[in-house]
Amino acid sequence: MALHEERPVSQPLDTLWYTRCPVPTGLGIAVQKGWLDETVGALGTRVQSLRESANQAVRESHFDHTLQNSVRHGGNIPAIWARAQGRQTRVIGLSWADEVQLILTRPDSGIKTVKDLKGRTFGLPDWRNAQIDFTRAQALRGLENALKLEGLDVRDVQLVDYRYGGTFSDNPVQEIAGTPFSASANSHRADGRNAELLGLLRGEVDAIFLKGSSAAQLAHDLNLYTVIDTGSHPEPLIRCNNGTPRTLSVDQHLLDQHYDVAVGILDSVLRAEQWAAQHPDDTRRYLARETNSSEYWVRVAYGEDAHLRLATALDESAITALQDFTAFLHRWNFIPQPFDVRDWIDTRPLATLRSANAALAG
Amino acid sequence: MSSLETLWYTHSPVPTGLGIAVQSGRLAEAFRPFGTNIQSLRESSEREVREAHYDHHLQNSVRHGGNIPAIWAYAAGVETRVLGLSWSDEVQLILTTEDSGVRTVRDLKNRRFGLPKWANVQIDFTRAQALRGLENALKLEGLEVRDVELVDYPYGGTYSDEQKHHLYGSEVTLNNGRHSRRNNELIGLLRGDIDAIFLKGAHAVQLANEFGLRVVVDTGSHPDPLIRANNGTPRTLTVDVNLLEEHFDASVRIVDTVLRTEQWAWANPEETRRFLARELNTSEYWVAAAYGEDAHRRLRTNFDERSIHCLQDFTDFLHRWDFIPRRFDVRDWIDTRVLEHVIGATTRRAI
Repeated sequence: MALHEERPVSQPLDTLWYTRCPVPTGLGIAVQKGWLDETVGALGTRVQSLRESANQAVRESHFDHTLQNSVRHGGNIPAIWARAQGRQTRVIGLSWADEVQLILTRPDSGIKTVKDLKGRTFGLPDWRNAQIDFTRAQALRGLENALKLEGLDVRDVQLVDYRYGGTFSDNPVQEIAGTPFSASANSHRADGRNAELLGLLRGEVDAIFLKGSSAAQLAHDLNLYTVIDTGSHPEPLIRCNNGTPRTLSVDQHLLDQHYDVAVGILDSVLRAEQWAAQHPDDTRRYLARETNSSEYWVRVAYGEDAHLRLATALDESAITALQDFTAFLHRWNFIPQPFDVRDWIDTRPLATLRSANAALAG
Repeated sequence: MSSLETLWYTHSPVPTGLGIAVQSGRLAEAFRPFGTNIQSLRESSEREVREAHYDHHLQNSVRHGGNIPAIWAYAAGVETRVLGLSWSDEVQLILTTEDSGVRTVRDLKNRRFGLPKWANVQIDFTRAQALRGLENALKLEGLEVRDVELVDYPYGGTYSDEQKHHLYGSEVTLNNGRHSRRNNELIGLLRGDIDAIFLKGAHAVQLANEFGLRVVVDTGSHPDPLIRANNGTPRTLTVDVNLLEEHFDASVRIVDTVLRTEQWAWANPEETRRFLARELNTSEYWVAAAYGEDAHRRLRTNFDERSIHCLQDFTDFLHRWDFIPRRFDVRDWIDTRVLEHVIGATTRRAI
């Protein structure tokens, strides 16, 4: 690791690519408020959204992080996978916004508690053509953690795969009414959407996993029964999943050649998060747009204090959880090899910002 | 004219001028100088009071919302008057699954169509509006409701069993562990028990998207207003006769506030879309999908001939299907004095 005292050299950068998941992230707010643009714009860099690109290879970089000079804030599974594949990326921040993570059943299934899942069927998504099937990994994690609480393991339930065709980046994301929206959602593909949920409604399986505001809303709309919400368990390792913590990552090239841009990104993210902490109402509206759900469902899924949950830092508890989750992904063969997440984390941009702020305060 | 102590208000969770006037605080502001207490009747802890959203039995109350309960209450002898009509076109969808084989309205012939059936309610507006959508869709192809097989999806209880609360502008029920049933027809469709259902508004487009459902027809976007006419087209702004006769000034204040709120909406599309998203408990994206990019311009309360004509046609429909005990002339129900008073007193803006 380079010396902390010395600020690396920084070359001018023409274009910074950014991407974030449709979930609560500081980067998302920084983009929406124009602060990312403003901060790196001052360094002569323009920003471009990667998921809105017409080029599928560019869009796929949201998942495989192949694009040089790009930043991503979102679910950690694709980020961990890309790193394990040998991609030269670094984590410069972690954020932890707890969200509902639900094991759902039908009211007539006879399942009331996690213990009742024993010997029953559980529907899992199966995106066979995707490079990294984060939907399957997060559902499996939710299931395993739920079962663990009762001394059960995944072998105790019968897994049923729901196949999806295509990949996660087949269609560009468009921004409509402030909402990132993928056109694929409108198509009537035979493989459909929410296949495991349909399977649950049809009685093919007894339980499924869904998370976030759409989970809360669908559970309500379809009269489903929540067996457990692992997202509200007191133990962080039980809550730990794709979104807990979320990774703020950049490619190594950006850090090496355009260090000031990397610091600028983090600066705009922290500014957005500080703004959010003081603007609960505007933040809730933003989150509603970002997740394409109502402000009420945002509150149900992310809590009354959603605006306070956007803090990006490098907390010990988040690092521990990230390591635990990386081991999980390896154990289930989602990644080819485990690694030490501390080697992946680069603390310099955060340290640079903090010392700059301390200097200002002093 | 005696002073008005309490004004009860109620609005359906749909786009209405009154709803935005309530959310934005304009209604309370308008009545504050007169010491009138403004109370939401659907948030009352008494079921009897909440039921007035449907039967309008409460004295000194105003309601802006779907016309079916309002038409039914008047037909049942409740003394109310319509002070204005608003027309916000919304999607009205006949939905089917990808594998049902149904592609066009013609394909609905002899297929199974799921309808909600609320056994214990005074007026089952959910069934009436679904039936209207179905009848109008079939009519376009020379078919009738007799040509499809209706399958009832029963619901117990009534619409006002649970106290409503407003959280972030959305009307929700905070039921403590009670399991209510909803969307039974949709679940039936998804299970493959039936071939088609009717759903309307933002939740219809959202749910259709969630499950990749196929839209057979959207009667809400048909060029003929009589095909679009349904529970929400037009919506009625109604008061009880006591309020109108004893508190004419309060009635004027209500209509004035609604019109001013609507004028504000026309100039503020972004903020209006947020109010509507909160009102409908959906996202701004789905508001635009269901009510159009110009949803803010669709909020206008008046007495257009078209709206009156459609209200009459729809009243006849409700009578023909036995949802109301008698047919009546909607012009006897409408009272134009308040609107005329407000428009006469306000500098009219050229729109």
